[in-house]
Amino acid sequence: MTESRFAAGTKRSQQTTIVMLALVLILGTVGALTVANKIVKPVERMTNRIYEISGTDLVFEMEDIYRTNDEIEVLAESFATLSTRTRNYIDQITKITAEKERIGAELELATKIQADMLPNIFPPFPDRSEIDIYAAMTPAKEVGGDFYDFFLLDDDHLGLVMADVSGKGVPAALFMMMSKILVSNYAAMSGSPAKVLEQVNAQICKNNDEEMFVTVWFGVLEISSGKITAANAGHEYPIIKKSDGSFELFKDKHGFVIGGMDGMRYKEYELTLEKGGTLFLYTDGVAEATNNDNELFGTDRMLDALNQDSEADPKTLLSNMKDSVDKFVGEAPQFDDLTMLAVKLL
Amino acid sequence: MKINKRSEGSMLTIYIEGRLDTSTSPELSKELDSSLEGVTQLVFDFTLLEYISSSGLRVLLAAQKAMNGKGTMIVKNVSELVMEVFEITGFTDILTIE
Repeated sequence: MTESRFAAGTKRSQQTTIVMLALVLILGTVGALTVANKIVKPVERMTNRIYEISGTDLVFEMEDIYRTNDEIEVLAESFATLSTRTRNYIDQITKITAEKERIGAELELATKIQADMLPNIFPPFPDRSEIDIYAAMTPAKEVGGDFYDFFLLDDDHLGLVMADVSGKGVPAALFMMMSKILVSNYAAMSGSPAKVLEQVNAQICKNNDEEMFVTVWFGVLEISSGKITAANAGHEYPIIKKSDGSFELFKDKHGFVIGGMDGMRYKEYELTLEKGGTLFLYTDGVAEATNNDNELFGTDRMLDALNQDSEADPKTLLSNMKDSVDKFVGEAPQFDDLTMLAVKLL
Repeated sequence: MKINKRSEGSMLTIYIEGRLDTSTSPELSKELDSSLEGVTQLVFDFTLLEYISSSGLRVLLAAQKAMNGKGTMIVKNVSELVMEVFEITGFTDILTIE
């Protein structure tokens, strides 16, 4: 009897255990599946999406599957924000690059137009054996505010211009183009340098709210006699060499820069270019070329550069000067436009 | 470049230290635009000015024009190098240099 009671008890216990085990198993499976749905699936989806967007598409958007009210939702939201931002940056950079390329292309064309504006075929008057001229302009940026010019006013008179607009780059270049045309036009109308500068000044002062100005040296060379009539509107001193001498600064009379004040008067003066002599004109980019120690090249070094071979032809003189400046400046960047003109009477 | 200002009533003194060139002159220009109100005597002290380029001259010219008719402008303690620039560009004709 006792034995059968014991057997029945064992069986009940066994059944209970089995039922409990089954319950635990079922509950465990259900629990695991729920957790899998909640964690694994969104993470899996996110991983796949991130893998997909590493190509060109780059769109990661918030989806319902990530709304899990926990770290996964936060992670997904961060990814979505990051993806939007990245796309915006890429769009912006694409736009900026395109704009930069456009400006670059325009500036390149502007450089060419500006260079073409200046007489740049040498020798400019192949049939005039009594004069040798060479000139060059090297802008510090794509375009510059310096210019030189020369033109025959008649068979015996050669106009010579050296000028420098305040500032650099595009604003200076716009002003330079206008100044160059005004000087040559007024020069064609009147041979008097002082009068030409006065007219150009009056014209420029009419519309000059930006207070730009230009320094101009303008001279007319009588080829047959070597007599130069000139006027200086705030420009650097010309450098002249007599036939048997060395290059020296010619400290001429200076008027005020052009475009600065309306009604300015300019004084004319004369100097003589002897046969075998040379006149050298330049802008402050040469005299004020600066090395790494902030030292200026200066007119003394300029005179040395010219006098190392003072009998040289204009082209060689300019190249000697350029070499000297480059050597002096060394690694320092070219800061200002570099413009020179030399004319020799043969 | 460093700009220092000292104001005494309607007199404003501007001290400039360093280089006044294309890259630094816009700063001076801005400074002048905002501080010339009510000033009848403008003084530039160039004791510590090392170099002036055409862009710097342009700012001085604008200041001179702004002061014409409403007061005076004086430039003082000009170094030899800066004075040479004033002479070459003819600025000695339009500025009052002491």
